[in-house]
Amino acid sequence: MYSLQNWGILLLPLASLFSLAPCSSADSTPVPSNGFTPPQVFKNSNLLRTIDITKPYVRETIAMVIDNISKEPQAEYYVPIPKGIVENISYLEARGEDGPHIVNTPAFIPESEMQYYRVLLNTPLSAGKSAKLWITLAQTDCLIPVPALIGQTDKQFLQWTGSQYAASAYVTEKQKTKIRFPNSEVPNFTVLEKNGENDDPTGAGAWYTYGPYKTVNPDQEGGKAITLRFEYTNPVIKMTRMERHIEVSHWGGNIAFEERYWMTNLGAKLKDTFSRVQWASTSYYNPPTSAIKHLTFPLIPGAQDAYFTDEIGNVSTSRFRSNIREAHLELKPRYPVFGGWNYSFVVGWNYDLKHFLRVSQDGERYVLKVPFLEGPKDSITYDEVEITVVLPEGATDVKCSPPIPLISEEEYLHHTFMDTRGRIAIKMKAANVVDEQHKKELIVTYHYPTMALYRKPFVIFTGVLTLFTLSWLVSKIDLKIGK
Amino acid sequence: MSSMEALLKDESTRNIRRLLKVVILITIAGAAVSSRLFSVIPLFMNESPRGLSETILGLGETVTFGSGTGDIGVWKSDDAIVDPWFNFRASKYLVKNGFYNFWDWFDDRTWHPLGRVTGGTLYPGLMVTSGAIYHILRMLSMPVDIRNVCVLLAPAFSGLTALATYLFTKEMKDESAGLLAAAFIGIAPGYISRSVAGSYDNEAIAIFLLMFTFYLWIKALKDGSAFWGALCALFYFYMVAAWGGYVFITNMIPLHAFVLVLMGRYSPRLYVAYTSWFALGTLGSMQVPFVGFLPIRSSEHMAALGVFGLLQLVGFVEFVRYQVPSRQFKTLLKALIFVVFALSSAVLVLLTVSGVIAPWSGRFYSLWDTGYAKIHIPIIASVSEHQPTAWPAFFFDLEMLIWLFPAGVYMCFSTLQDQHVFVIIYAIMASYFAGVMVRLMLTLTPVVCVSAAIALSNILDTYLSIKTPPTPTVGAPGADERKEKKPRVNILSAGKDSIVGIYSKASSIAVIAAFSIYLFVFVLHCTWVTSNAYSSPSVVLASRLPDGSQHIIDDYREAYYWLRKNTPDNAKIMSWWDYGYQIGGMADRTTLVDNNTWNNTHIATVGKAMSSREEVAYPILRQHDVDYVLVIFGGLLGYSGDDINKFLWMIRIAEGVWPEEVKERDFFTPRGEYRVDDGATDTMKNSIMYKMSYYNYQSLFPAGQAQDRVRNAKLPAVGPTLNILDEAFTSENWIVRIYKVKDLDNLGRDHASAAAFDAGKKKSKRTKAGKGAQRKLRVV
Repeated sequence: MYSLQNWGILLLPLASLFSLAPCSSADSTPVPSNGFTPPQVFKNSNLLRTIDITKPYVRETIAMVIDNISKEPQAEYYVPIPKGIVENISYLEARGEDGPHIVNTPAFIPESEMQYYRVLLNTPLSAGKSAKLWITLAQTDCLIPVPALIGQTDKQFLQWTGSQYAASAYVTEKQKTKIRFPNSEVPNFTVLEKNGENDDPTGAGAWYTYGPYKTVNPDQEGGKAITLRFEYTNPVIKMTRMERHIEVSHWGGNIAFEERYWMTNLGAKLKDTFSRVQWASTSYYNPPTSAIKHLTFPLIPGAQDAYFTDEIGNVSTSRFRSNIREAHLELKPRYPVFGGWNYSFVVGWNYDLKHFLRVSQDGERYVLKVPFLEGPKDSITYDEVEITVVLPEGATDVKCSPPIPLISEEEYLHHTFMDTRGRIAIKMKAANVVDEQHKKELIVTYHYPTMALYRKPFVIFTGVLTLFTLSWLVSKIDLKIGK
Repeated sequence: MSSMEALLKDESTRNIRRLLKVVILITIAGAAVSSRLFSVIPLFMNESPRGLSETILGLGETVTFGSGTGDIGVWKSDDAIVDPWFNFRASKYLVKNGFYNFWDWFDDRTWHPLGRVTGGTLYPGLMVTSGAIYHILRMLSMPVDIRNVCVLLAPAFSGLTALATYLFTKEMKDESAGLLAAAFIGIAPGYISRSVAGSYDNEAIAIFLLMFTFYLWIKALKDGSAFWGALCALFYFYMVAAWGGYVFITNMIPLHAFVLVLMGRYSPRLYVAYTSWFALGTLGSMQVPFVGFLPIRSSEHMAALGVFGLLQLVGFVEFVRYQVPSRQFKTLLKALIFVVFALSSAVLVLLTVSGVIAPWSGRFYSLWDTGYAKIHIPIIASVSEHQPTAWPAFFFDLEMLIWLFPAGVYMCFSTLQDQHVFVIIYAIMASYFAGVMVRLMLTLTPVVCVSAAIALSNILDTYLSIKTPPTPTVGAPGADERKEKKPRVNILSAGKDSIVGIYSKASSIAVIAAFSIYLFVFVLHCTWVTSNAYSSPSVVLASRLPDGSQHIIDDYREAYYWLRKNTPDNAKIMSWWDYGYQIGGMADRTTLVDNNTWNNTHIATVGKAMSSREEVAYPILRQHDVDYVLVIFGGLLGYSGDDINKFLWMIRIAEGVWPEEVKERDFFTPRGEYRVDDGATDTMKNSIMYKMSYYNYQSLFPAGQAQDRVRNAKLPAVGPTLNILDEAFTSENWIVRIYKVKDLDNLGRDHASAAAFDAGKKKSKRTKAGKGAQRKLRVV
């Protein structure tokens, strides 16, 4: 999974790597949005929007061909997002044929109805030329269960409401929208008036297509609203909060991960109360259910000492399979988590540090590369994510490059295991994260002098020596009143 | 041989011997601690927590306070004492809010709607101890959680108990006896049962304090030292702050002093030791809010005060006698003592009668009359821990020590110094109490270990002695074997007059070999008991699958966690009091009653609600804001400690308060049987406890085949109906069932008719007729 060649590349041009990362862009002037309209310098000659609702959030991929219709080279392409949706956007990424583009997030100005993301093209597009552009975004909290209450063994349906056209700040000459459902059970969908001689939408099974449509102007915005209701056989898992704690120990040669989850099921709630009889009798056949029965954490091979606990102690229903090729932590919550129910738990595991850490030539500069998130395999979304990396005591000059945009990043001193000075820890907070970010990597570089390694033995030695000396002195005091 | 002698006796090797002793003691203490850790860990072998520090954490997470007492497998105890959960909660509160807030803690999450002034009604010693340890470790920036401290406190203190027992026994005989006693107390099941990892109970530290206070008392008495007396008072204060059983010390020390005076062994040493202990100790004990003025106002403490007065008198008399050696005057003084003593006793009785001094508490009476509690205070009798001890329990908890124990006591008689009198009194008192209450086996265990160690060490001294006889008084050495019978009588007092002994190698080898085997068997027994009987936390039931793998039944925590996560934070849970602390600790919800059984009426209210018909129960539930009702049902699994089996206690306690409304007789069939099947009485079938236990249960089985595996009864084909409650959650094996109390009907109907209407039935006359028929039946 982690090829060694990558490491060599990483070490040398670290500076260039930082600049590549989309989030740490130097040019982060907020996109003005109050009464702002982007200059009409582009047109979309062809656009294909794919909406994927197989997960408990919506992924939208817009592939388009953009033409520069102005006289000068242009490098700023704007993507409009309505105000109400901006808060739900987990990420928005842009990619051209020459790799990913930098995207500026909009400045949130509450009055403005339309907010704009700014895509900075890697190479300005010359006048009259055209280029391909892919924009992917994920939107959370937009699927609602309809009906909101179901029986324990009933099917669960989710409903999504979106727009007919892809939102664009420019004239779009030709476009269509494809929708991918988790399965072919789609009882309700908006039928638009006929598009030429074709039905709108067309398609069947798990794929539906709206369009193709002829020229659409930006002032038409999304066009008509479309509402889709489809069966969703999995629970709608949402982690309202997740804390991930990564602790590096050079002494132990160990890197420890611990994750705390506050989980809730946003799916349809139970119409009646929970019936154990029904649950026991149906779970024999293992039918699809809207309840969270288990979670599987695919870990990087080599994980050891996995544990699964919650606020009141060890949960005995977990299984940890680890061998050379794979490491799976399978969890079963104490009870099936139905719609509206909550559960919270802690999982943790260890790795050999050497697989994650590289040292530079001088022997004191270290680079740590760990997965930014390692959640369960099941599709989930996170409301709040807090990641803490604790470096060994004595580490200095810490640099950190998170793979996704953060809300805040702070550095503080963490005291543990008889630390005298404290360890530098970096706490990173992100919001509205989806499981697609699991595979991304977090890179931390720090300076760790060899002498720092001997600090702790010295401190303990001194402490014990002081203790003995003191007790020896005390034992010399004579408290007798008389003989 | 001589080099061996030199090593053991020579001055130059003193430091080595001392080091060896320390090493042995530390090993014993370490063994005591680790035996308690490993007794619990095997249950959770499927987890491997990380690292050393994380082992502690993992343990904290895994053990989680369950090992209180009742192991279901062996004792079939009807209730799991779950004080650890409360103590843990209190410790968390202490650590979070600081000492002064803890002192003033008013807990509104128990005893709803009354609440409990927790800070003033508990013994804070345990929580303060773990809080202090927690803060010290935090100061050293160790990443501990208060949970880890709480889980490991009992094993850590058991190591200290071994040390205290060593010191105590050393005062009785010598160091070798001390080491033996330390080893015994380290692994004796009677003590392990209360000190395995996770049994975070007052007793965890109390036994250490008990032994250490006794040691200091003996030390003070021996030296006549005010310093040791003050130390004794200090630890007595600690004990008072830690455990209600401090009354045992409060009466043991005066009793010892009193007996010494009666034996004519009054000495200035006794005077100094006792008065310094009493004055400082009583003042100290009054600093604990829960104790307050009890030391001068309750009967349990009067003995100490009386002996204090007596000692002043005796001291005065001795002083006068020393000055005026007149025979008549002495008689006069003796009469004076008698008169004053009689007078003060009369005053005491008068004060007790007039109510200034509180009479003996009910718990105390139940110590003298084992039938007392059953009649007067059913709530005390309902605790399985308060039952008289069964004979096998003595062997189970003490094994070989139980037969070495009398020998040790006999040896105390043979070298009867002041401190040996103490052991004798302690042995007599503790044996009696242990016979009365299972729980008090705990106080017997230390003295059994001490006596047994004295006996065994005497035997070993006699037979391991490498000395040759100084002067063979009875003929040639060969004659000894024939004369063996005679010396054996005197073996026991061999320490006193060391002229006899067994000199033949064969006999000493035989005896030593036999005792080595006994000791091995003892260790085996202790290991077996620890790993089987006392290691499973009572909230988790472990069983073996046919293939030998372990299957864990974790229904309690499943249901409690469900409550914790899926009910409003201020939801009120009604359950029988046994589960109060568990719900408070694990589910973090408000309870009506809990294991601190201070309010009998409130408990009786819950008992009444459980044993009443739905129409009667509903107003009670509403009046107490109950949102959820929780019952324990073992019928599916054959788990005998369930609520139907405890139901009779609920009825009895309710009947004690409302004899008109709840009658135990109504729950028995005319033939006097307690039945749950078709033959159950109507009162039984209509009680909400019965309904909640069996609601929907029959649908698990083919029609008419529903089976209760605890009571081996075939249940009625038609299950009970519930109108005022909704089933909210049932755990995987049906052990915990949670019901939600229905809101008032929107149309103002009663729930039964609302349910009938929903089911599409008209309010027919047949139901009315049915009710009439029931009434008629009852009249008959």
